[in-house]
Amino acid sequence: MTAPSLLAPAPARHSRSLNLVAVVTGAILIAVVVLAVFGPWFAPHPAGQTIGRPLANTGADGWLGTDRLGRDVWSQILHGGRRTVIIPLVATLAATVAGDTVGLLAGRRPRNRILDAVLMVIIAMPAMLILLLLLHRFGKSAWVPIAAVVVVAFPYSVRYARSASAKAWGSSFVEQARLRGESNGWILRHEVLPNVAGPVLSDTGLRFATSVQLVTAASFLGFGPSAPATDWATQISKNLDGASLNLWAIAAPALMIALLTVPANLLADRLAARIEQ
Amino acid sequence: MPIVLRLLSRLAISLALLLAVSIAVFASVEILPGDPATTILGRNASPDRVDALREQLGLDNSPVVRYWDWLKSTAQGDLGLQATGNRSVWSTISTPLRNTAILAVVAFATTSIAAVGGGLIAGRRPGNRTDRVLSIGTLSIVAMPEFVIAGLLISLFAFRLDWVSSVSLVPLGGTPLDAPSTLILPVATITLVAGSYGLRLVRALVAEASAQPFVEAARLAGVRETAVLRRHLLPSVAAPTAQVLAFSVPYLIGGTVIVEQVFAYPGLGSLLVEQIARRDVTVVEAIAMIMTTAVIAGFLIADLLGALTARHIPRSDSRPSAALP
Amino acid sequence: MTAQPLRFDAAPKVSIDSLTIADPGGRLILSDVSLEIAEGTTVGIVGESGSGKSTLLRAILGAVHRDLRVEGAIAVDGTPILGAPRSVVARLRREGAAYLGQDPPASLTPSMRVEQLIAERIVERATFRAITEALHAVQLPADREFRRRRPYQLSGGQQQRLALARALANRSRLLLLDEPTTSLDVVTQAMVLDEIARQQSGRTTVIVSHDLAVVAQLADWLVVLRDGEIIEQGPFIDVVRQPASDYLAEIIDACPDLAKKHDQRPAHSAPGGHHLASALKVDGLRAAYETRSGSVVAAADVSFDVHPGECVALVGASGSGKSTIARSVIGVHAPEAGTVRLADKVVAPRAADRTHGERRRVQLIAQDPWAALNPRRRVGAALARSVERFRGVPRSQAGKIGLDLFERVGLHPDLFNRRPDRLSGGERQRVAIAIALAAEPDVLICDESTSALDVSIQAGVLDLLAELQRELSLGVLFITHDLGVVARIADRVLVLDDGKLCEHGTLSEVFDHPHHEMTRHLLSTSPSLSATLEERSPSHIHQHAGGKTLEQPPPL
Repeated sequence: MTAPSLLAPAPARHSRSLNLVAVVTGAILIAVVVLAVFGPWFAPHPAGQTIGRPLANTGADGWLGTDRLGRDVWSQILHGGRRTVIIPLVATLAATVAGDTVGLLAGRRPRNRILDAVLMVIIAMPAMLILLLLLHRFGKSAWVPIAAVVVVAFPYSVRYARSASAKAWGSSFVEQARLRGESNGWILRHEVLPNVAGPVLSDTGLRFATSVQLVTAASFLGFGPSAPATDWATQISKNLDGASLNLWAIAAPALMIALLTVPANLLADRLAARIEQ
Repeated sequence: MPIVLRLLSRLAISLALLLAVSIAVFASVEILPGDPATTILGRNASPDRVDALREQLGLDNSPVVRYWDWLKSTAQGDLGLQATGNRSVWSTISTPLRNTAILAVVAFATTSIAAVGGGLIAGRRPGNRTDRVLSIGTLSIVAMPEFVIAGLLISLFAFRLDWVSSVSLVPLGGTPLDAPSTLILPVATITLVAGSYGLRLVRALVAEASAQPFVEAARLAGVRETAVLRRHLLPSVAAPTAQVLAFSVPYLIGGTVIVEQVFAYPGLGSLLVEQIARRDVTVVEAIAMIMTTAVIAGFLIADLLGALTARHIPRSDSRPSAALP
Repeated sequence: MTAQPLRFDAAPKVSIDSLTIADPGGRLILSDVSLEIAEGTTVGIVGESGSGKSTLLRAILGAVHRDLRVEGAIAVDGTPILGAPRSVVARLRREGAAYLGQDPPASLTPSMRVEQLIAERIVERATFRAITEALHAVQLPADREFRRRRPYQLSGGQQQRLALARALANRSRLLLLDEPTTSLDVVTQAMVLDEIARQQSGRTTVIVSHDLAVVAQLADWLVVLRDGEIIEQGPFIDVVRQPASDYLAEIIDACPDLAKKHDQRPAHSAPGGHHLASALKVDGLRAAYETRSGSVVAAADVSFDVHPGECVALVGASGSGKSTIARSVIGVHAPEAGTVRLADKVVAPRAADRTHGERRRVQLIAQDPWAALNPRRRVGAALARSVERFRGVPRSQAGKIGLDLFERVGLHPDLFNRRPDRLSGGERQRVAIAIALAAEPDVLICDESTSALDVSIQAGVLDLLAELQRELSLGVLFITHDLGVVARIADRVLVLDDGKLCEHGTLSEVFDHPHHEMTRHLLSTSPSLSATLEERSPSHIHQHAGGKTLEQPPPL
């Protein structure tokens, strides 16, 4: 009853420090996105330009040294950000629109065997396999990873949005709305959506990191942009062999990807926790 | 429902799922717009060669007939000949398959230990310091692509500390087990990623079970903590935990593709990437079917284990709501 | 450790010395609570939600959430518990005390067998005989087949007994009970209370409850807790007969009691009252509802009517399908047969096929005010929308009417723009009533609408309903399992047994001269504070001396 359970989650006594986490991660995220989007304007060297000997250490040739082809690592980072950020962003939005729309509507009648079967078929195929099959079929193009993200994310966002909206659709306040003769559209807008928007939003945030993973995986496996266009994953994959000479050639793009996805995930998780309270 | 019937129905569902997946694989490889023969040979190939290949692949038949033929021979274990070259598919994939199986089995074991052990530690007392640290840690790890984690591990352990090699050189004619050090970084990478993912799901199950009135009652009854875990908590999380581990299988298999590429590990994933670049339809199909069969088998085993262990536990409809891999 | 060892062979005494517990935000959960519980007594701690009663009980077991700040001391048999080493606390829980929380069957681990559940609590060697004794002590069988069962293979009553047997299997002399019968139907509740009473002798018992009538059957010493403070305490009978605090007096007054029938308004003989068209008439209703274990017949040929301005109570055990009848009437559950008449006109079984005007005539107020209100909508907006739809007035006017209704149900206008989560349970239930009134209904169906509320809040809501019924000539169908509530509000009573109406009549007919066995059973098992007090006349009770009662015959 009134007693806080022995085992209940601790009250958020660290809420202040957690807010600090949110501010710091948010700042990092914004900084990385700004760097990625506007980076090409500030890059010391044009994309793909050789500035010195390959795999030079930090110092003389740029502060992060050079890569396998003697290009400035820092300039490559600045040139490679746009693709790494924007393609997953587009993919996330597309996947959210597709999955959540179906999920929201499916919530009215959550038990649908046909839909469940379709979702299960997709779940049974590893994401990486779906990506590779699509690459195999349609070749190297920025749209393929986007399509892969939409397909891979589909079952999960449908299920999530469906269970979130099924709760609202089956609630007694929706039943009441029907009894006073409200239309489905009105109920969706005024009773269901307000209850679903928060969870779906935080879920979208968590999906962004997954999109980055899949999109960058394509590049890493060699299906990325052709030089001189570049992205962070391509840089890692191309420089793996020479990394013993200049560690930064792989560590820098790896860190950039981490600085993009980790704060995004932490922020979305905070949002989800706040909504659940 | 009697247990035998339940097992049989699960088996039937799995077979149906496998069939559906095989259609999806076949369709995505062969039926979607475009001509596979031209795709394989490239646009500049001579018409004669294209026709010959069409003949060999049976492309003049209707897709349904081709699918049926393919399904029949695949089901009989006959994977056919490579579309490019004359080796049999089986001889091409057998060694990589063995290597990947070794990697996957070892990684599955370590992943399970990490997921279950960590999940128990974190979920036992939700909200305490250990739980929060593990939560942020795992959330950060699952946010990163596998190759980033692999890259960071290589940077640190191979190049900085020089403890292990950055490349998995499997001895000629031997198996990775002959040189276990080749497995260290690949397994570590997969364990970090799939283990973190599993840990989060197991933690949620354990936390939920910890809040069950009977667990709390056991603690208030002075039952020793080890006994609380063993007798009261674990039985109710065993079945869903098996499912969580099963759900980590597709994740793990996807992980092997990347990890094999990073460490130049001679496995099925590397072969798949290579054959996709070479556009070999039959090998790609074979590998895709092997991978999905492994996933579905994992689901089935988890389902069966769940059905056997959870007979006396009131059914809850809470499948692990698998967060996106 | 210098502390004297715990001894568990005799009924222990518990002393609580200026115990203060505060949450991390500094809010006091318990404030300077001091209490001496003498050996062999039964102390009842009564308080409403938020009074800190469960926290107090758990503190005796050393179970205080790690984030709470604690001052003061608790000693069991002279051994300090708060701040004691873990081993001492563990030993107290294992050997020195038996604890039974709310919903006892939930304390049974579903994967364990009966014998394992008992054996785990036996302090010495868990021999076959020891398990047999523990099971026999609560009148459970102890044969091999029974021992091998798991909780789900037991009946509800057996689960209750097994939970008690498990708690007591350590033969401890200290029994701590936290609302052990809340959420039970009266029949099971009576069985559990009976069993607890049998176990009381030779034990020190502390029972925590919101229900004075339940505590009355067991306790010889009463402690009244409010907002973490002890308002008053003393020998049960004395304190209840002459409450020193207004608060206790108010609670006693608010406590639903089937022996306290309200002054019946002559509803039937009211001018034209009976001859007017009935507001609601149900004929030959058949309905079933689905559960996991199959279909339950909720109504097999049920017929009744409700007249304007009268309150009809529909009484039955929990799970008997009373809600299904309500849902069939408003048209959200499809009955198998039967007709529903509103204002003497047959309406379609499904709400979707009824006209707007027909849907308006009957409104439902459900048990759970949480579920009935959209958490993301301000209550005022929800209310105004209902006015707008049902009365066909423009939005601007609907807001004003809504505000009037809001005040009509006794809510402060400041709450109008709040979201449901910022209202208390009683306030939410009043909002639900206002929303129902927005439709200007002829009939209000209240489905256990007050059973989740504290008694003092419940009394207020019941009074409001009675008032509305009178002033608006509303017909009220009040569905409940609580005969005390029936006595307070109903003009006529229908008793439901196994889907059939086994008894109906005016309140006094049914309560004073029950015909059907089910009715008699319900009446005899319903706890009644006044009846219990009468039974426990002072001559039965040995003299209390400073809170110590020497011996007490088992009540009942």
